[in-house]
Amino acid sequence: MINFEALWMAGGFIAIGIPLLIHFLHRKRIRHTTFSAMQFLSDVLMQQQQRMRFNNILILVMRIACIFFLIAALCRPQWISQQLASGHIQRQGSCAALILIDDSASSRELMPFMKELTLAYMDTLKNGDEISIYSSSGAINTDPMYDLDAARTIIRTAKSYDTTSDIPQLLDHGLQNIRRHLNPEREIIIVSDGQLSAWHSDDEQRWQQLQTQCAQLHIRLIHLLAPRETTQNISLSHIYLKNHLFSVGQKNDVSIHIQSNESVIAVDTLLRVRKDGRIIDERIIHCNANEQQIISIPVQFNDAGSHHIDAELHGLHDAIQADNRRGISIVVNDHIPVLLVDSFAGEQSYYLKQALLSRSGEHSIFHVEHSDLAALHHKDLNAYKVIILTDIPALDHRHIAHLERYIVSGGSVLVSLGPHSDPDSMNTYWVRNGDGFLPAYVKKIRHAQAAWFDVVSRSQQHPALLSLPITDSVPFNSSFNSYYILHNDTFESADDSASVLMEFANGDPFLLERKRGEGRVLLCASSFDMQWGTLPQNPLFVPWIRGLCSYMASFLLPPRTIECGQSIAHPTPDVRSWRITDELHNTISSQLDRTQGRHILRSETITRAGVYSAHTDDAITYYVANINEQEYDAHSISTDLFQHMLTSSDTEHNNPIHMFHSVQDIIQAWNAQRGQDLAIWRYFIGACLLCLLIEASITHQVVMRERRLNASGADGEQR
Amino acid sequence: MSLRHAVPEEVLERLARVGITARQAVESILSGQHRSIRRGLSVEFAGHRPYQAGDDLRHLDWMVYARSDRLDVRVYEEETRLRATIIVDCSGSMSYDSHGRSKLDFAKNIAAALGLLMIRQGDAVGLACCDSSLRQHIQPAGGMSHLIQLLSILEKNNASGTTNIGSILNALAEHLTRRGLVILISDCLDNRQQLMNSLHLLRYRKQDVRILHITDPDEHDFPFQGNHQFIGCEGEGELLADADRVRANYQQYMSTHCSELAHACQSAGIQFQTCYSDADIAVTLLQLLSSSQPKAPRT
Repeated sequence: MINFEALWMAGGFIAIGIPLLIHFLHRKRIRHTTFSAMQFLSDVLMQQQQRMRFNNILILVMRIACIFFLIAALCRPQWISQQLASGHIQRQGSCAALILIDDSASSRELMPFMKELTLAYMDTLKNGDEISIYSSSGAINTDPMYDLDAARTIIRTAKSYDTTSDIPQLLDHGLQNIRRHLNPEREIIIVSDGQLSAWHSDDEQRWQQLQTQCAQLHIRLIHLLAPRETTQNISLSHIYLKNHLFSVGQKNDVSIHIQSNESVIAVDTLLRVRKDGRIIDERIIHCNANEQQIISIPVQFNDAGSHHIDAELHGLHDAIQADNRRGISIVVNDHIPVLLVDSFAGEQSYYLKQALLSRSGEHSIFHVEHSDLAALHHKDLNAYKVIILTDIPALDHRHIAHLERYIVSGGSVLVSLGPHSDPDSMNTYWVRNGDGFLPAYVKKIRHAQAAWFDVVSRSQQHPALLSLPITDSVPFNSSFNSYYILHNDTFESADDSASVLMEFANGDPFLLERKRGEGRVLLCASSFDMQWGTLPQNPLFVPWIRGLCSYMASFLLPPRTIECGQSIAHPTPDVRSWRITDELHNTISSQLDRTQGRHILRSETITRAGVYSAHTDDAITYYVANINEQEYDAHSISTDLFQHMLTSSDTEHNNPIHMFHSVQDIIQAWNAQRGQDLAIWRYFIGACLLCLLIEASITHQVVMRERRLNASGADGEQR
Repeated sequence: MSLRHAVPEEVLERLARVGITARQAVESILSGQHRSIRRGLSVEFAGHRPYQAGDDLRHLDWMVYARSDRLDVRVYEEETRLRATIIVDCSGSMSYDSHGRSKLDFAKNIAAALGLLMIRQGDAVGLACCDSSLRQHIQPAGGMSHLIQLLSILEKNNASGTTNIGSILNALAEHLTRRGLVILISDCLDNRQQLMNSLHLLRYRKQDVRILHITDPDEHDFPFQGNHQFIGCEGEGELLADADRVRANYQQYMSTHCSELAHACQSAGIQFQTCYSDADIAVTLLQLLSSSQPKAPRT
């Protein structure tokens, strides 16, 4: 079968008429001349006429043939030797293939086989078929092209990254871009490791939209699934600090969570923990099926600044290797500035200040500064990690605007209510129906009649309460005779609803937290002094307050522990020459921009897990990129589930769906053998050149003969 | 055709001292300027013979008697009047004209000039106009009235018909009983062999033959370019040819024809001269009448 890749060039065949036209026009320009010596002319013509006629015809034929072969070559004919009709998948015309590759972290081990499947599929394509390739990491994103060899090269050089896979998003991208293809027979090929979590099978609404799009576009869906040899997987799922705030010399525990799935058969692995790249701990971990282990490693930093801790499991031959390493970036502070604001010369905040400053035998990390409302105007709030408002009756609009800017840009505020609080003013100006910074409406005061109100903690696992003993419903040992009732309403305009961290025994909220922009606000329903309760007398008061402040001060903006797929945003104090490098000291592409009055050095999307550093000559900040937890899943999607997700309930519009696990399956489906397509156009070019050569040769012979005869005739005849 | 019209005055002036001499003795009954085959009283000394009774004593060579005591009489070559016949080819091919003067016009001018020269020196000149047949034949005679008659005949004859000079010469040979001069003015576009046979016949008849071969410059140069539909002047039909491609071969054929004619004429003792129809008439006549032409063998 001959296929023409550029059949539109056939319009050039009209050029064949040019030599014919010239030939006939030339013939018409004949002059009639009376001549006397006809006997000599007739003698000459008798000899020459036949040869001249033959030469003329031959030259004309060669010119026509030359143009014919040239136009035919430009139409790019190809002799197709593939037999496409005997497999169960038959294409009716030229194909447009869009290959979607899931090159996420979980596909690292299976990438070679995925490439092999893809290449086997590409062998079913023929010249004239369109192809485009897109990968989930964004590393490959080609326009539709006809060069299959170039496409194969792209596939061969593809590699996996530590990004997170999202098959619905990948498929949606494919459905948007398949429209750019011209050929009628459309196919979308998803190449993946079949990780179940990547398919988001529970998001039915999303899949229904995709089914509808598939049906409208009349495409064939093909899934090339690289099966895993094993589903046994052990992952390093979490690494975090028990205490959020690290101070110089302070001992802290790093918690490392190791998760084994149900396929694990008792296996030992080596856990290696590094601090700033130096090994601080190594131990053998024994893992059983369906087990979670928490390993606590004590760490201590003697220098303030940026540090990092990473943990790695060695010696595992499980399904996913990318989840065997995880890290965390740490900031070690030598001081945390805290601003205490009250309206009565420090009386309400006295116990707070003492709780934050004193630490028996140890230098306190908190640097506490007191301010009253009048002086608040002149304070640069961004210089403080935590601001505590104690029993403030009212704030003028400038204070409110100042505070809200501070919170939205990442600051943390703790508000405690007291006898001097003005609920009406608070609700009107501090809450503002959810637009303000206060997380909840302040209702009326509840006064104790007989027994005081006891506080219980609700979220023991909340990082703000880690200083409290981890037991169920442990009494806080603090009672209050009065507190404000807080209404934890869901505001329409709120970023997030407030969460109750602690509550009274009767269920009324005691401590609320709500995020606002990049920062957060904690609201306490009662006071921190002795006016309404015995809170300062509680032995847990000091660790509790310090824990709250540590929690509020621990947020690093922008975050330094990120996921692959995000970019590093490093705030620079000035515009000195900062650069971001990876573990191998390769510079990561980044650009400087300005956000909310700050210079931010923003890197390209991070696609590899590991430790990165933003540094200049005398400063360095560590950033750690980890893979997403979704990539820990070693389960594969089944054929039935795949069919179910891509099959619409409206059976009239369902497109053909195919799933292949091996190269042999693909070959059998199309009965495709790597054909030896013959590029006929090359031979046409050769024929064109040959005709040109013959024509030139004949013309040259004729010209040379005439020159010789003219020369001999000139020599022979002298007037 | 008046004399002045036929032969321009300047040509006559340039030809004033030119005479036509027969390269061989001609037979004539009149005393003219030409050598006669008969020897006798004449101004030109031819030799001695012994005195016989009755000879004129004025011709005794007394010097010979004084030296040798022998009576010898001087013998003289007798000059007779030339009888010339001018044959003008009036076939269709003679009408070819590329430079404003056809070959026939040129031939007529030459013929008129020759006739005038001969009449002026007392010779007899005749005229024959022919194509494929003899149109008109005027016997050689002298006198201005005869010349005017010749000129009149020349004027009336136009180029037409085909060429067959051979048969014309054969026919004329029958009429040429006396020795004389035959001047053929033609383009010689005829069968070469037949023409030569006829010329040989004239030579056999002891005629002094001279051929003035007239060629048009275009016939020689073939300056045509591109495709031409050539139309014959003598009704040969039409031929389509690419002039650029046939030029060389045509010239070769033309050259061969002329050279073979010239060679054959030279072998036969016939003066063959080629001229172009755009040439100067006086120069052409001078060349034609020049005595440097090879002499005919004595008969």
